[in-house]
Amino acid sequence: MSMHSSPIDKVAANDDILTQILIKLPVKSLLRFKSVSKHWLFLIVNPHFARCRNPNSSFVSGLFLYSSMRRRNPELNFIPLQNIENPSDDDDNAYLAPLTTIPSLSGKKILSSCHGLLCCSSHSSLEGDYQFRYHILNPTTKQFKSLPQPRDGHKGLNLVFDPSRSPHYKVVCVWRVDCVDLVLSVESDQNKLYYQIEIYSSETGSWRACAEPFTANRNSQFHSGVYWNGAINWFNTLGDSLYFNMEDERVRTVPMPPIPHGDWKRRPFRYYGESNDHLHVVEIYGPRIQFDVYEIERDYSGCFVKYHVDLGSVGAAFPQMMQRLSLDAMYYSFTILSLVREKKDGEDSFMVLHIPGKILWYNLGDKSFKKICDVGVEHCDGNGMIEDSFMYFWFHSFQYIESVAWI
Amino acid sequence: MSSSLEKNMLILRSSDGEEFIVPEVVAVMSKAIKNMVEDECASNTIPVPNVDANILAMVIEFCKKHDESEAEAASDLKTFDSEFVNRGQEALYDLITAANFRDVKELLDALCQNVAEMIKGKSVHHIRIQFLGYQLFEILTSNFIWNIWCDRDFD
Repeated sequence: MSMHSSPIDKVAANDDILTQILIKLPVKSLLRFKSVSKHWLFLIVNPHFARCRNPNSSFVSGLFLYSSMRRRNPELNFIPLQNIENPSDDDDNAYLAPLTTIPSLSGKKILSSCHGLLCCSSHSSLEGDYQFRYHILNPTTKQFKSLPQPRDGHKGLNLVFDPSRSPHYKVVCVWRVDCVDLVLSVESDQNKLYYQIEIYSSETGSWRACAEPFTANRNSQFHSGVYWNGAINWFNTLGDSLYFNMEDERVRTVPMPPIPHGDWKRRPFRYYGESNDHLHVVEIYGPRIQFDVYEIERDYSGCFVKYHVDLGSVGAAFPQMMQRLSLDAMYYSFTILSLVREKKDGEDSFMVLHIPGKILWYNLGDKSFKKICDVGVEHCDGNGMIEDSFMYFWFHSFQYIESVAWI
Repeated sequence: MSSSLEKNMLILRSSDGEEFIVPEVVAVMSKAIKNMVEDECASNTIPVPNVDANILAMVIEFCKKHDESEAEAASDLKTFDSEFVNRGQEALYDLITAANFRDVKELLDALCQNVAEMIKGKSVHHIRIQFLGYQLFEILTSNFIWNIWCDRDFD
């Protein structure tokens, strides 16, 4: 260092201090300052930096939502959940909202969200076929990376990212094994099929087949898996729900809530998702506004009722919620878009609810609720169908978690 | 009486030789000093090299306030912090180096937050001049292409 190094030079030359300063910058400045010098870039893209900046990789600051009305080219919307009352002057939300204005993102569809990263699919006819391509996207940094093509005929991709365990992400892909390929066909249950798992790792940049084929119900779903507890968890309306443990790479059964007496053949899922390292499931049997939120035990020994919810007060305040859907009379007009578990569970945990024309915040502790925003108001003049202003479902809702993880 | 006073007090000596008598609870807000005290390698006088009297006085002022105001409202402390860190460039960056070197976490946090607030809206060019002034010549000559790459608009 030069003999005349000024106080600011000493700071600029000290990685620890510089990192402390950079960590406190809003995302927008941070992205700009990556280009100050190689040294600054090195500090900012370091995985350690991302972890220090967001030690809580479960802090949900918004939701990405697709409108279910326009299936062909669904509109991507963003709803901020933090600082609703006093938006920060940095306006990170305004910066995020127009995600769809990024040309490379149009026509892409979010498949899953995991601790700040999104797994997206796209398909284009430009390449001469309608093949899907898959991408990992960090909406905070707007950086994205295309994955090498997974095997043809796969059943879905599932994202695994946990910065507290590893700076690398993985993608789990399940495909069906044709019976002719099978040498070890022991079981001959007509309802069972053989499946095989492949894993992509960002560390190696390639796919690899893993473990032995396993059998599962013919109707098993292997998309929309939820990463929780070191495993991908798949919920099935018919047959067993399954989880794939990333450590020992084996598939086992997830214990599910009991099905009540009656003719229920399918599980009527109304929500499932992970929050702050807890896995929640909501099933609502019939047109009801009272329901239980179940939580799965960490050791998969069972599940228990975490919250009893009664939306009577919400229905009284917003009578439009009490109308049945014309599409399916088993539904009242509300959906759970997200369940966010906070550190102070009894006070701060909340659900994001959608009723015709509105998105609501429902506190699971004191059962208070408030409006977050209006949606589809142009349809709320009373002339349109109720469905016109009721357009978001939980499976089209993805948590936004701020992360500067470099992908 | 005097022995008990001595027991709870420490003497800190700045790099330019000035001595400050400080309550131990205040001094150990510096983790570096805390470690020295716990390891019993501190005699009555603890030298604080690299930190001159001017800066050391400021660090002590900050620690005293934070020690006293445990019961005080958090908002008062916040006001104090924001006024405390509002200083000229020289003192600010000297303080940061001292807080880092002596490991006074609360002070370092407050100071770094202040710098972040100051620079967050600045341009890359401005940051380079401010932080890399001493190596600007080198950057301009050896990293010409890098500079062009960097000047792309990220917004």
